[in-house]
Amino acid sequence: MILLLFGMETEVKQVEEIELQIKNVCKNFMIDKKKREIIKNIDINVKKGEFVSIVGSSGCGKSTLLRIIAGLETVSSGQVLLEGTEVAGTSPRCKMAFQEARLLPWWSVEKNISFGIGRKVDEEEKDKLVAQYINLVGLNGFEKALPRQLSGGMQQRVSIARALISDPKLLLLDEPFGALDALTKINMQKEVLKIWESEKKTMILVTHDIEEAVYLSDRVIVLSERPGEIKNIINIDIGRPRKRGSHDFSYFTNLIYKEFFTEVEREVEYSI
Amino acid sequence: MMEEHQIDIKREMIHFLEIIAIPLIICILWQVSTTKGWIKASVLPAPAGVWDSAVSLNEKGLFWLDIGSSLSRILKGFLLGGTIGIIAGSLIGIFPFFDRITKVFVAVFRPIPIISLIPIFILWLGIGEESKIAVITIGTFWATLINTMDGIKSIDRKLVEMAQILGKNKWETIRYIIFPYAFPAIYTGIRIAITASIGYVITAEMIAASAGVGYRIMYARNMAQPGIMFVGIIEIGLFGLLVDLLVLKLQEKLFSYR
Repeated sequence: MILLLFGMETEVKQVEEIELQIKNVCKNFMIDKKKREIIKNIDINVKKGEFVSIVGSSGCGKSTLLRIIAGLETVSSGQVLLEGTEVAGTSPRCKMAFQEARLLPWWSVEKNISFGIGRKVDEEEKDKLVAQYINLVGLNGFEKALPRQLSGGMQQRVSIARALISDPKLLLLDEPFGALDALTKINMQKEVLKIWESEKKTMILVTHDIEEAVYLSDRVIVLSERPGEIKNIINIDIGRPRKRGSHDFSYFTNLIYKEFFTEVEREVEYSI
Repeated sequence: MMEEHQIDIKREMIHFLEIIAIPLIICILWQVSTTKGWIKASVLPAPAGVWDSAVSLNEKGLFWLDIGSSLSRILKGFLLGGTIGIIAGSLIGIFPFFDRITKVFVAVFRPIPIISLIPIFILWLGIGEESKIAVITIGTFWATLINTMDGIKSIDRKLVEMAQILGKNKWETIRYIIFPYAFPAIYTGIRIAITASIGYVITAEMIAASAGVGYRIMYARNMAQPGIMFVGIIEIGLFGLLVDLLVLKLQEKLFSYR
């Protein structure tokens, strides 16, 4: 009997734990009194500690999907389960960073980050936490700076630190580097990768930058044009850190590019 | 280094001269035109004459009495009207329910010029302090109400969403995001209210009062003492200037994050 129990336990451990289940999710919006399908029949399982990217052309509903996971939008049909419980409204287990840093301009870096602490903590612990996360995102020396004194990349670091300081299980990234210049973007991707590796968080990134998705993700989910449906899921089987110029890297970026090119070609055909 | 410093001082002096040039020219013209007899003293007394009037008012103990009465009315009316205005404006801005039930009231009563209410206040409240304070209360109420309301309604939805993601409740969102966000607009409302209440108090005092700067100007007109009239006018101008300077200094301090 005891042996059997042991056996079961090890078996459970071997099965990879599922953090997030998206089951047949559809979302419709009413636009001009007409029902418009935004996303359709989305089925995704995200494993604990996995880095998943969702790519798609603009308007394909990828941000809407992320907002549904965050609890900012409701589903029209289907289910989203976070650690087995259905998502209903925002949850402390899941935090999000947006394309704009959304910092409070009247607060210093420190205060903005400490705003993310979800529970009651005493001053001493708060200071320790804030220092820890300022260190994590490499903003040492900028504790007292105001948002307007920071560059776009630094503002995003604050935003990410604020999301992480409450120690969520799942971090959602809604095109957080979309507004940054190319060099800052590459640096920020490295930073996020470093954080992902050290903090062991599950992360879901929405982006329209295919290289970014290949550089960061375990899996890339390609959505079709509206209504967004899963077109393909591509496992990026390259070890990290990945080199952008490498053969494998281009192989995967090309693979994903093709998903879009075929769609564009088809559209041209239709319009003729 | 030294030279740069001197250039800075020089530049600042030039700026100062630029700022005071027009007032200075007006004063010179005033002095010259009155002493040369181009303008009759009964129309525009000489600067020295106005000064004498101020001194005589002070000797009778009226100078500070007038300023004190007008200021105390502004202060009382502003505290009352401003407080109600900011509270009501916040409620309307935050809760759509209050917005709906006050919509018609605001639309109908706000365009009424406050001056037109003075006779009604005198009828209801008499010619004592109450009627004058009421005028300022109403005036400051509208200025603060509208600005608070608009400031809160213009909140960046993205910041509210951010608070929602961070698990902040409604009260925390109001306290840490909505109010700080609306604060510059509320401050603008306060500034407009104070400036406007100078006008309201003078007008109200001209109609019915026994002391105050507005009363003194009207009294001097009746007594044909133009010197005293100009004392009043200059007092109002200087008070306005003082308020402006204070408000701007405070603004720099409060909103240095922008």
